Amino acid sequence: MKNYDIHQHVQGKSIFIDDMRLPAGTLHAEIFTSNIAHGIITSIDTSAALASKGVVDIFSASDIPGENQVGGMIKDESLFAESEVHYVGQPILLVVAESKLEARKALSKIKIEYDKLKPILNPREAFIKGSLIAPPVTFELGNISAVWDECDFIEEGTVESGGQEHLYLETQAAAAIPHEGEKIKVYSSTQAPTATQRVVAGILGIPMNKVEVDVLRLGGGFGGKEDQASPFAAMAALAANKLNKPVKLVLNRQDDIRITGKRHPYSSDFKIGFSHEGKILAYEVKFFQNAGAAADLSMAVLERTLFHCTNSYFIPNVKATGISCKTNVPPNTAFRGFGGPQAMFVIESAIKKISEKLDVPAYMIQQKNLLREGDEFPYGQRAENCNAKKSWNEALSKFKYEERLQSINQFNLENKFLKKGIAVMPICFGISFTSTFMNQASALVHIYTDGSIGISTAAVEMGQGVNTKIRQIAAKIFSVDISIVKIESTNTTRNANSSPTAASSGADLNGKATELACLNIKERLLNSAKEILNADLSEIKIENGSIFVNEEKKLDWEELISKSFLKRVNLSSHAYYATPKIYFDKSKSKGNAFAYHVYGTAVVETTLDCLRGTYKINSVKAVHDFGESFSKTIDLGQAEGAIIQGIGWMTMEEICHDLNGRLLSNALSTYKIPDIHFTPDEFEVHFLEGAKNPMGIFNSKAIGEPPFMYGIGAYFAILDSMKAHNKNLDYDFKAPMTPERVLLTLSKNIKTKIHK
Amino acid sequence: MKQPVKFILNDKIVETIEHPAKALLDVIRERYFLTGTKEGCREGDCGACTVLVGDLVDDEIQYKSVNSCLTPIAAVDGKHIVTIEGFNLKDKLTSLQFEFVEQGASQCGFCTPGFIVSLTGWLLQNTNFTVDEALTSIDGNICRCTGYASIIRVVENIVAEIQKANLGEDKISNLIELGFLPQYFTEIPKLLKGLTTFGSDQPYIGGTIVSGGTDLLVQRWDTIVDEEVYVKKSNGISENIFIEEASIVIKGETTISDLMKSEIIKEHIPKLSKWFSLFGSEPIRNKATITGNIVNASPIADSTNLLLVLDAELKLKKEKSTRSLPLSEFFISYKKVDLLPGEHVDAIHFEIPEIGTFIGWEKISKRKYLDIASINSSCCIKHANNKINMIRISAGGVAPIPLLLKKTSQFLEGKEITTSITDEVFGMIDSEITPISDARGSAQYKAELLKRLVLAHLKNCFPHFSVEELV
Repeated sequence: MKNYDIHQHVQGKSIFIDDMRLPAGTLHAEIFTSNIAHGIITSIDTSAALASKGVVDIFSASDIPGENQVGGMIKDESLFAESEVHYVGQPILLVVAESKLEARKALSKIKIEYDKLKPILNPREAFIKGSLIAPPVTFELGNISAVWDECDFIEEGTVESGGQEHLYLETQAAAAIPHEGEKIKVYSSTQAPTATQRVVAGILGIPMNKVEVDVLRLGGGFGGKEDQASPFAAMAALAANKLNKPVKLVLNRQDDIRITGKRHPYSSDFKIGFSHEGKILAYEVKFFQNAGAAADLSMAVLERTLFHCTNSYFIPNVKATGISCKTNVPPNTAFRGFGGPQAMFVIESAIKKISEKLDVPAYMIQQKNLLREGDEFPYGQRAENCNAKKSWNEALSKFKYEERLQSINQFNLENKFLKKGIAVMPICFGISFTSTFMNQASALVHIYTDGSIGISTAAVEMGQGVNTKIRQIAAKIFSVDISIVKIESTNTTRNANSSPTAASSGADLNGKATELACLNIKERLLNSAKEILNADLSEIKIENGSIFVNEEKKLDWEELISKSFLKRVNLSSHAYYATPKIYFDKSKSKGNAFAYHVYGTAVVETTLDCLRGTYKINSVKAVHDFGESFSKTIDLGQAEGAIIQGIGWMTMEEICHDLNGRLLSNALSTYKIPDIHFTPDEFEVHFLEGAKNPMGIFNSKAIGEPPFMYGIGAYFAILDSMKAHNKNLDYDFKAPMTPERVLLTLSKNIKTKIHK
Repeated sequence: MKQPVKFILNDKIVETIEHPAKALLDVIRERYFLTGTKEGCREGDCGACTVLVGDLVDDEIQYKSVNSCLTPIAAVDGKHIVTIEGFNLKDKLTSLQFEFVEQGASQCGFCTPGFIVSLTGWLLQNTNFTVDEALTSIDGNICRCTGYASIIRVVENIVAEIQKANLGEDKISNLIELGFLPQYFTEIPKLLKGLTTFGSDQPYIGGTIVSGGTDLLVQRWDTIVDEEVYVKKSNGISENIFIEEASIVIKGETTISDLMKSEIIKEHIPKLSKWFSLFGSEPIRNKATITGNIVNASPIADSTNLLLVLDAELKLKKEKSTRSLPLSEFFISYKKVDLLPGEHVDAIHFEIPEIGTFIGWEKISKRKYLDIASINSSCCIKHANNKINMIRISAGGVAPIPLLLKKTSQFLEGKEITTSITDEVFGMIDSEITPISDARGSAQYKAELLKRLVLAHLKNCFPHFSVEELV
């Protein structure tokens, strides 16, 4: 199935917020932010900026009629700083002018002074100083302290993974239009319309029913617009409310990168015990999460880190502790994988250590410890319909792993400057919001009297193809052509109290709700047809836009609809879905947190230029568990995109700050993401056969996040290349593996004046 | 200082009055409401704002992709500008758009128009169609969703289709026939020829010279519109690069693309076009001038370090007076150059390299393509019997200015290259450079990388040199 939204994209007809034709007189806003990482504001002088051409007004915390608060999980984040600033890029003022350029020019005329305080940039430093977001959280399985003595070997290590900028191509954006009766309509590029509605209402001090949030589509989200779109919507709404005029706020790229949070960097310590055969017996891990200056979604992210601390392996004794550390960088936030990738990088590093200790290839250790049906996860759930081994075996045989290994060894014998490397990366990722209450969605389906269908759900389209999937679901249930099904914008007046489109769950939750709504109407239609055609229910069938009685066509779809309307049949349905059977007891850290798990295995190959320290990802091949995909083009695209994004995180995407907490990688010229030349020459994603998933819509599985983690394989393949150059390489587990890290690691291991 | 501009926008002649350095992107979005062209980064690093500029060269229309965010509006006076909307057919998708849909080569859709524009531009401007060339045409387009795999599938299918079709002489008509272009494209050459413009070829009377704009509009897009400017226009390749006596002359307004396509350059520095595929992206190369790269004085300029080892000389011009200056003396300190007020670089001269001269160019960046170098280095060696007779090594990104490694070069002159001298070479390099830590790498990295790049030059020149022992 093709993504129908693409028809508009390829013609440049898709409308994003900055493309909207807003009413004449719409004003433009720009944000004035802190340029220090920590300090107290001692004075602000806006007089010159206010006098600047085109400037209409400047707003600060004191102009907020409601509560100056945008925190979702924990109320610890203000919309505008009041006296203390906690990170470079923290919003302080909003400048509103007749044009964007005029607003921007006024920014430079604002004078501000601070008493500087020392910033904390490192999570371990924050931990030592007691600067935490919340108390540490621990997941435990078995009895770790009793097992160490039984282990033949114990290895320990430290692992660092870096942040990641979302770099959705459409920056954060919102437009707010005041309506009668103090109502406000906000167009927002948000993954979470309800959260945005709540934040706007809170800032304006009005009830939620006076705030309508509408989302047509996002130019990419990746988690970056789950919690962090709301403040910008609230700023636009505040100005619109105060000035009683439409206000647009579209961030330019540098501001977006500077102001918004990123994937959480982690610094982690592990201790792993294993037998001489490579069986892992005990794993203890402590994650120091760099949360940034406010909680945002950090605790939920941290929790998912703990959920996925053993990746695709069964480890009988586990103790995993997560510590969310408060630092002076922008609050870090959701990003595809949501803490899972950081956890998996640590266990894979630990396995690499085991393989070195036992002097066997890492894939043998991985293979030996793969999850089997019924194995218990550290949070008490058991692996059901477990495809860990199945995808592993299929990947290794389909991609001729042993042969590849041999030919790589041969290549490495024959070449001195160029070295190849290979790694296998299995994944296991749980599907469901780990906050159980969030696993709910609703759908509103209308059939209009001409037979055309309009659907509103809580799902936000951001390129993942959820709208197409929902169209498919409706078209299949009604058995009509997909062209008569239209998906409406996501709007809080049509679907209230919705969860964000996140956690890969958009199609599952909203698809199921759509299915229920369509089934409701279908049942009514069948009963209506029964009466119209004077036939038995069992004889009636709706198929391909026609109504049959005992295989004989009696009515067109349109006829059935118009006749049913005249018979006063309700042609609309609003349905609600909540994932059954899941629960999680936070006090014990145990429960069936996930509806199901997604599995898969990837093989990554690289070539390293040992003179220049540069590398090429030659090949990525994966066997992925899509369940029974009903939208293969879309699902394949999700997998491919996630994999490259994951490789980007592990290789070239590097967030750099200076010692004062200023972001150095603050533009596309300094923060690099994969380009078309970076895509591996061999890039294959195969659908694992026979992976039916009764918990998913039409037996499919969620797809957004899990393949991201195959990217971790790139790190270990590059490391393998480096070790082919120097078997006794002294190195640290630190990502991203930039060309700089590669080269300095190689240089560190040689004794010439190259390395000072 | 607004001035009138007249150009063809898709299928219509339009006229507007704008500040000459206002970005084309803002004009097409705000004045003409053509919102298919997107602002993604405003620094030429994403390609979401890509449009085509068509220009008559010898009676034939030539199209180039450019970043509209970095294109001063005055530069499109008298040209044909094609935005994504300008490709749309009435009742169906173009063959390229259709293939994007088929392959699911678009997800969120924000970057997609840029890809379609760049690829259609490639169809318009090329004669032999290979996957590699097609990929080069979209090396300036960033997509965060697809991982590019589906886009590569589109490219492969389109290349196969085009190769089968054989576009021949009347390419535009054939592309229309094949459903890649709307009908009106056949009318454009006539329309362009008849277009009387306002601002072309005015003499320079003062103000900031805007040539390619690919750096100026990154740094000062919001303030340049308050300045007096002079937007310079480019002409065809043949006039820009020529041989005079035993020297190659490159006129100041020569773009990087012109340089890569020049037959003279291909003959005398055959690898340049391959090397410079790492310079910016195609739309950047189509606008960035070699002079801009020099005068900008970035220590990391990709072309400057090559010109340094070629011992290039600048011809500087101010009104009627001219003077010559070796490039190596042009750079005074960080971003400070020996250029008098009102003076500009008219041309760059360098001797045609003797046959047998080794010329090397290396660039390392975090991402191989469309990235600014962590460091770059060039090397020119005259040698015989494994001995160096003359050597010039340059290095970018290790000092406040593009640097000639004079001491290192001097040390190597007359030497036979063996591993026994490398520690001395490394010491020499360290004594000449002062790298700093920034987003492109730590000082330590830059120093170590430079040494390895010097080894790479020497290895490429002297294949028997056993660098393997050293690394």
